[in-house]
Amino acid sequence: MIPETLRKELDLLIDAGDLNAVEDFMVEHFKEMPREMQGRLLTNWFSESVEREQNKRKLQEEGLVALEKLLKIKEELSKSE
Amino acid sequence: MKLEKLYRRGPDAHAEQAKKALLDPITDEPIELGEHDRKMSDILDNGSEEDRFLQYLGSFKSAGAAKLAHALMERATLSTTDKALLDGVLLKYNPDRARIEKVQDAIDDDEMFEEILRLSPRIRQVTRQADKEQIVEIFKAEIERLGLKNQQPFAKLVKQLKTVHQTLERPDVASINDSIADALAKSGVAADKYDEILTSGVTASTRAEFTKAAAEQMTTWESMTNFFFKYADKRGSALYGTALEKERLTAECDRYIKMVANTLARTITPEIQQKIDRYEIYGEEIKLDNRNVKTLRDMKNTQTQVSSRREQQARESRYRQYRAEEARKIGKAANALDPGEIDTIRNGFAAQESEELNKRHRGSGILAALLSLLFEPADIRKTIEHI
Repeated sequence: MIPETLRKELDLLIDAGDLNAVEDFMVEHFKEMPREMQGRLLTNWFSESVEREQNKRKLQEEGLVALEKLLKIKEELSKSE
Repeated sequence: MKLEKLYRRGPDAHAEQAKKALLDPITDEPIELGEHDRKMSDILDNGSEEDRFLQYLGSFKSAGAAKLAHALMERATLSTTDKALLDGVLLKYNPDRARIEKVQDAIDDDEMFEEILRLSPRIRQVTRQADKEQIVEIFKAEIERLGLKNQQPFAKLVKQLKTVHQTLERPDVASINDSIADALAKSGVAADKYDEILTSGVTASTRAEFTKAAAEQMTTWESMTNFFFKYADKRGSALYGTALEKERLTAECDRYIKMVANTLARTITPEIQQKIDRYEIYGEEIKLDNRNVKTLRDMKNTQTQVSSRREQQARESRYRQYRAEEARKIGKAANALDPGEIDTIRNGFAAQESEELNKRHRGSGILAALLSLLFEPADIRKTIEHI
């Protein structure tokens, strides 16, 4: 269970609605968090980062195909001059 | 899975399952049961292994599982049916334990851990204050917790770890950045765009553009290139009807090349990636589906709702029902339970309630973790201790 003092601080940050501050707080006090909470934070951060990487990869692969097609089209257009 | 379903499969099906090749969930390589080839007596003689087995048994949603767990804890004499059920669970438990351990081993791998650090700026930050060994141990404990629950979040985590492992194993995937750099060089617009992107910084619209790209831009790119390509196949003057048309097509082509190159440049430029990372960390919006808590304000509202009088009354009612059912399972009336039994029942209810609340109010990332803090079993237990 999270120490009461930290929980009060966290409640204040949540009330203020500042996600940056909450994230920073969780990182700063990571070692003081209960073990299970630490585990959940790590796996959640990991999952988010993998999803982000997968989105980026999809963007890269499909963007690369699109770019190569466009370059070929431009080449064809210039040939016809 | 229902416990009874395991039983209905019968001994032949169990033996069949036991013969099935056991694969490492991350590498897909065959593995052996090894030390996980346990008999029930081995488990009951080892306190921590017994805890794991009981936790695993708890993942079977049925009255039979709870009754069996209770009988095991009490070291009661088991009926023939109970023994058969237990044999079925054991045949599944042992290989699952071996698989969980392999998933834990993946985190222990230096190369894999470095890749996780590269991917997650937040994990990088906490690794600066807690040493790597501690982080790995916490990760492994969470893998075990999720694995013993044997539900969807574990399957998702395994799939993601497998993806990271495959990326490390496949140099062709890693080399996509080189292909992009080549294509950008050919596009002839990327170089001057780099400076513009770097000096302008990452704005909300940049991020929106970035995260929505897969869903929206891809569709645009796809239809746009297909349209052009249809004509490009004809070659030469067939591409366009008039000089004006050609001019329009060339301008359109340049516009799209710039758009695609611009976005791709961001994905391979380290400075830009860092800015995006920072934006991902400090962004105010979090990717969601309809069931998720969207913002801290939503979470606060959820907290208020959950602690409201009405919710409290509903919880008390659920607890009374739960207590009556648990008492019935051990053949007692609810008002005849001893303090130890009441304590166990309260803990069981608080854990179940916590899990249900977490399922109802899912968030992502930091919010998910905060919600689990909000619905901690210990806090829920406090609200029913007067009953």
